[in-house]
Amino acid sequence: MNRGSLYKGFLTTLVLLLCLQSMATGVLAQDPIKTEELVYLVNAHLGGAYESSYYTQDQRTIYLVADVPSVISLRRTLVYYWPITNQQKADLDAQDDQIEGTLEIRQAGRTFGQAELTEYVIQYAEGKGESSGQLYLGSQALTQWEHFDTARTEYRGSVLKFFEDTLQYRQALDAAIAADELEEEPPPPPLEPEPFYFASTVVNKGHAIELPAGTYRIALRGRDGETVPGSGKRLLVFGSAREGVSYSVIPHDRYTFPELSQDAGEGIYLRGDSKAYLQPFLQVEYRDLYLSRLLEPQAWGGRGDRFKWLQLGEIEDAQLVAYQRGREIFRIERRPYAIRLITGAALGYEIHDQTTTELERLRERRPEFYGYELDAATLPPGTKIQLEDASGNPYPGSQRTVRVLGSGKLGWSIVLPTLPFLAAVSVASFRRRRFARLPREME
Amino acid sequence: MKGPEVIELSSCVPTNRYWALRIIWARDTKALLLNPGTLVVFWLGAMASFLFLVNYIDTVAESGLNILSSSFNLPVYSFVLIISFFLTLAVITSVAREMERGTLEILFYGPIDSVAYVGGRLLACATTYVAAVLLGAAGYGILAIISSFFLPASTWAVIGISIPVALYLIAFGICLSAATGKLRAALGWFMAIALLLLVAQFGPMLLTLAPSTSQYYDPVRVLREVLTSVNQVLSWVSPFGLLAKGTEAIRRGDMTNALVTAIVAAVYTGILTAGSVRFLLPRGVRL
Repeated sequence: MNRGSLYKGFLTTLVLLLCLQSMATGVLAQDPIKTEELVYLVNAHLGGAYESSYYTQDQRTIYLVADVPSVISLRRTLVYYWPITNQQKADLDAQDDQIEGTLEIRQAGRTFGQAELTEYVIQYAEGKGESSGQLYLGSQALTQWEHFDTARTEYRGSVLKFFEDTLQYRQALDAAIAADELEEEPPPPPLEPEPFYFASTVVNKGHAIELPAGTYRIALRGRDGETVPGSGKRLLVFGSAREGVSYSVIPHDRYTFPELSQDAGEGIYLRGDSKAYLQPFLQVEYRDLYLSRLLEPQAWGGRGDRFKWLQLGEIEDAQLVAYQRGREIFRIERRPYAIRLITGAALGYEIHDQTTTELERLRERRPEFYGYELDAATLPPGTKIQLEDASGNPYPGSQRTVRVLGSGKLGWSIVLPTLPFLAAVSVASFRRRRFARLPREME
Repeated sequence: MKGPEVIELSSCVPTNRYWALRIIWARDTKALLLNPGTLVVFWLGAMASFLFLVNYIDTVAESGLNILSSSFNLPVYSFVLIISFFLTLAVITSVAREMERGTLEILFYGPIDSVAYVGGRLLACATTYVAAVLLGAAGYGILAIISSFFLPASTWAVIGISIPVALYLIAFGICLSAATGKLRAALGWFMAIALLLLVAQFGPMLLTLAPSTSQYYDPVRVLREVLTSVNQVLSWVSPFGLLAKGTEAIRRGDMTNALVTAIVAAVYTGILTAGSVRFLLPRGVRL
């Protein structure tokens, strides 16, 4: 074999090896390495809803809110690293083996309580986000699941009937038109069934726990009476720091960019010719670190020395009361508002009160939001606002100060911060003069 | 023959010490208050506050709406930082220079001891600081009336809590000067420590502004987390951290924590003052 063919053979082999290598790399990237691991699945109650998350072996602490029921369960599943989100994922579709046993809760080295495995479902009467979640346990869970299943089946039936009725209605209408028998107004079409918002999880099994604030240790004792290796975790149960009211403040010309006011000590500053619309929400304050970890156990963010508000549902049964020097000056009713998009070159929005607008099409449609109108032109100086419920009791944390600012008000008052500079110049020149006046023999 | 009259020195020390402390305090206070440098710094602090307020007004004028936790917190924060920093630098320079030049030695041969010296210096700075913040507060009050800005009680509480914190910073400066005995060393140590504390406190926040070079990975995440952890430890030691902690506690209406912060700052001031006295005992006299 000559040198040329040897060289060609070497090159061909090298190219083939490189191709194989690149193919192998591609295959590795497509298929992450999965390892069998014990994972805690958690349905944590937070602000009226249930947040689902899982804690792999890398997360040593589970975070839960105090004095509300949450559910946790131990599963043996496949865990893999997902580089797209830089997270560990649990492949519950590939493997989801529930570890049965009793959950033991210990505090300061002593047994605090135990939780047996039980069936549970979580349901939202009006859908998640629109209603609070309800946790049902044991036999009640099965009953509630049947109730949901029946309601869902009935809804499917009503939707099917609606489609059949609509089909028949259209066929009858077409036939009448074809036969030229349609002399008067056709009968009304079939009514669409009400949307189905009721939501439910399937019946699962887990350990329901409701604990006071504190730090605990948990572990699962298996059916054989032995503690399941790898099931030990620290459990941090935390309470809220404060409760209050937040306002989403919608400027009259920037409907899509509302500002948020979360603290009672805050001031809402308006320009003299502007209007704002306030949407109040209940809110709860938690330690930033705990809340961040509960929502995303693998997150790195969150600070232990900071607090964060969690917005809950909108307050619907209240009146906004305006005060001046502690005396009530007027009340603002909650009203429905519709948005009109301004077309043309200068795009923008107009907010219309649906009860008073002259535009009929805005009156008839579903309102974009409900809120309380603050008109800067009608606000006297030193106005404070507060939300009161139907019985006249104030909502804690709903007080705000509202001020109307004029433009360029500070123009001439720049004199004020300049005074120290003038004083400095005066002192310096005085000292200079005094020094200059010293007799020559004293220098 | 009758000998010279013997005066019991120990019976004179408290009276002399008080007298010496009062003299140092009065002289230093006058020098600080009527110093063009102090007035220029006061002007800078006032201008910084004023510019913040002008910015808020412009925001409302342009957007029609602004929501502020406390419109005066940031102006007050900048004002107290500038004033307390200046007073600390002034006292470091003054004490270290007097040690270097041997002025302290002469003073200590006289009726002035280290307690009177350190106490007088600290009290003079405290008086100047309180006078400055009271003048500043009066200015804020006038600006609030002119501009219609809301000046809440929490702003007064922040000003109040800034006094023990500023004293802590000043006491730290005196202690550094007393410990090193050299102007350059004292200033160098102070600037280095202050920079470290400021970076630890504001670094994590500033690093969030760093542009990300990757869609999935934050290039400064580790640095930010390290600084956050360092700051969590230092926040109970750093005067800037204590001020931020106290301000945050006041904002949340948590007056217990605000009071704890003020007490912690006062305790540190006491410890550092005692340390300064201890350092000056052998170092006041040049060996």
